[in-house]
Amino acid sequence: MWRNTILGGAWLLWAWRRVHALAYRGLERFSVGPSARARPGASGRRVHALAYMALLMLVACGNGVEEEVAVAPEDPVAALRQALMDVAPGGVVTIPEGRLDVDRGLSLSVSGVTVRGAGSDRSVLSFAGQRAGAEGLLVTADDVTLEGFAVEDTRGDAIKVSGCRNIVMRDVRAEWTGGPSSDNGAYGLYPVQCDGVLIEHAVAIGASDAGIYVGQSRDIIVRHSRAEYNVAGIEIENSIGADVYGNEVRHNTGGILVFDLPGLPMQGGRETRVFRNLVIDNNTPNFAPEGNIVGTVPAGTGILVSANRDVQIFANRIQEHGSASIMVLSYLITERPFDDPDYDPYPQRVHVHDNYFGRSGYAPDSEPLAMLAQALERDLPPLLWDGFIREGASDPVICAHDNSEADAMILDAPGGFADARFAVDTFDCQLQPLAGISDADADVAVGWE
Amino acid sequence: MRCVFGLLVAAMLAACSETPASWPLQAPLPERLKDLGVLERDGDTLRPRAGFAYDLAHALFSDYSSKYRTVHLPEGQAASANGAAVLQFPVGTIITKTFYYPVAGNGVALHLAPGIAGPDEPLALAGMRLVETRILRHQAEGWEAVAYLWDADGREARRTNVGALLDMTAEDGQTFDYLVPDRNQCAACHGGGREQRALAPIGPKPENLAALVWAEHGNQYAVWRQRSWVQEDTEVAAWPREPDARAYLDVNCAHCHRGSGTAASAGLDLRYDAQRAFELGVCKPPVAAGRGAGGLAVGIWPGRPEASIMMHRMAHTDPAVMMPELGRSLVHHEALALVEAWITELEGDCTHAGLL
Repeated sequence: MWRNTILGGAWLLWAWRRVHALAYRGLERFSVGPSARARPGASGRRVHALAYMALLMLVACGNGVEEEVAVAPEDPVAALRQALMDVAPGGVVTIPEGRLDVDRGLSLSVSGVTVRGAGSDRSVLSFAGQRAGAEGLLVTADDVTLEGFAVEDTRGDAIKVSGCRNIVMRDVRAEWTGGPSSDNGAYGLYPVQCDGVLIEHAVAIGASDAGIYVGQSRDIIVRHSRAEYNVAGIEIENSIGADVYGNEVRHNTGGILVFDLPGLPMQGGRETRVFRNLVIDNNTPNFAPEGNIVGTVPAGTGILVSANRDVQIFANRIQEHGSASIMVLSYLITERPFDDPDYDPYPQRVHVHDNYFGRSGYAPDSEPLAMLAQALERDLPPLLWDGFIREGASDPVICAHDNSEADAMILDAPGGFADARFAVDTFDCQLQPLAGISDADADVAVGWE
Repeated sequence: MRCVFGLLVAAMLAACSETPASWPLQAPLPERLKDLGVLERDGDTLRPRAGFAYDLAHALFSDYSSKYRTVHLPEGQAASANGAAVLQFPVGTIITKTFYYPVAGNGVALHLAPGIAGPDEPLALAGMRLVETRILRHQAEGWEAVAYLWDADGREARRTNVGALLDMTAEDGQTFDYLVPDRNQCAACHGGGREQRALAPIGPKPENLAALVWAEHGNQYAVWRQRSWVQEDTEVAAWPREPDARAYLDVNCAHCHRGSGTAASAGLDLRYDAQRAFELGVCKPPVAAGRGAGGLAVGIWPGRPEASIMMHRMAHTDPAVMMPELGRSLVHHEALALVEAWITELEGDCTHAGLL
């Protein structure tokens, strides 16, 4: 533990280099889970040829369809809206450099399209004057790549991708520029019901729910991205198969959340790996609009697992969290009603190992936690479990080992926190590593040591 | 080299003039509505050519605009029901919906004009402001949707793929944004979720068509059958003739809020015949509602409309809060009262439902 602290500075430097090295390697080795990997090369080439043809046609014909003359060239927003509709499958839509003020939501429903700007700080779609549309950009198509632009200050969600196969968001930024506020939109980058999600080198700032939120999806990679000043930095919800790694997650209310909620068509969230992330100082007071489920997340939470299964959390650096480095909870602790026979409210097989835990538990943002800390006259340990467990459950809820600090607590929430106790022995078990979605190096030796 | 370049340019120009197979449209919709040949302006009326008008007892709310609807079937063909929720129309069918307001004072009246008295009735234009005509056309490749925007004097309507936000003024002086949808926004309602993205009509449901009874012609759906516009052997369970909360929710919400709809991820099913209370929103916590939840715990709290997210979202006009997400910037007060009364009469309690 002491060694870790001393080595911390060196680790940070190393991690910075490592993240950047991986970032560029990642660009070349991109793959979006099994479905994308299985795609035969020939079809990939065809897509490229199509894209090239479409690009030529865009060059040759202006907006792609000659007869469309309604767009005044001096109105780049109308031109962009038109291009998003007229682009042929496999084509490219270019967002010009500079700032475009958009007053109603944009959408794309053509598959295989790349929407490309000059960079997430150079091509900015500002929705500060938005009058219509529940999101900034809505994508309802397969095999879409969004890269190199920003969506700012939307009334609702920034970029929503609803029902898709293979979405890539690379170097995109979703931001509410006025800082944390419950008037900000809910989600920054928001793929939902998608098979194959790759989010990399993305930035999400200021969302009043989750900055990067992947819901009801499969085969997900979120990497080398930055989430700041959101209620939840990165959230994986009701999803199967996710790798969340190499991200910087700072100044949110809760850093990284792996959740399952009742009442959604997709249930059985499982198999998420959270590794080699920098999860630091997520102590922003919760600013979610009242009633939202993330409104229940205590400020000062590094990583939160709720009602999810087979979650592997390793080689992360998690430090400066007033409530806890890692919390593992049941949905039952929310005391919210649910009526969903397919829903499993209990977490199971959460594997926490080889993480570096910095300071935590020193200012719990939760009444029972605060009372507990007061009674113990010490900071709470880094790993907390609420203690809800299915009767007769045979699998472990948590196995924890080789972390920089071994202390952990069972909060006894079912018993009204009366019998909260330290629980190192309870978590003394092993679980098999998950296969994962990406080909990222999952050797714990490249972690914080 | 120059020769190759010339060939390339020629090839590219050829590519421009030739629409790629099935993209974007096989036979592009004409620039002017009149060239579509289905609606003609005849003096002070707008009337269908080779088609007929229909009306709905339970209609989508679009900022109090009135709607004149027509169907144009290919000669000798008919729609069929086949037990589907919405009638199936043959390839070649065109459906139109013209949005208009009665003119009042310096603006438009925020109340519906009287409906048509029968299927042969044209739209009387005196004292009306035409806004837009939306088209659904059934081609071999599927349905396509686009809006035509009427000019200020209501003489000509031109196709708009990118839609528009119109500044409207009501008779009482209040201003509001009227949304003419872009083509993708058409698909936001007429398309389904990822397993079912193809566009389709939403409105012509047998139960809703049959809920309208004309003084002179009788039941609208019976007229369709008499005139062989629809082939239907079984009886239709008509929705109520009077305003009805479940019919309203079906028509205004269920095109997205159903298992195969674009809002499937929310887990709501607001179709008229949906049975599971939880999927209607009863005691259902919000999922990804953001500010839309308004600090409330459940979609519908039986007996407590003030504690129901459904009411909150219907009562708002902020794009991040309101439902439906598109196509209104005013509150539909009559519908709010209807749904409020319905929730008030529901029985149940969400306090501890299902917990532990």
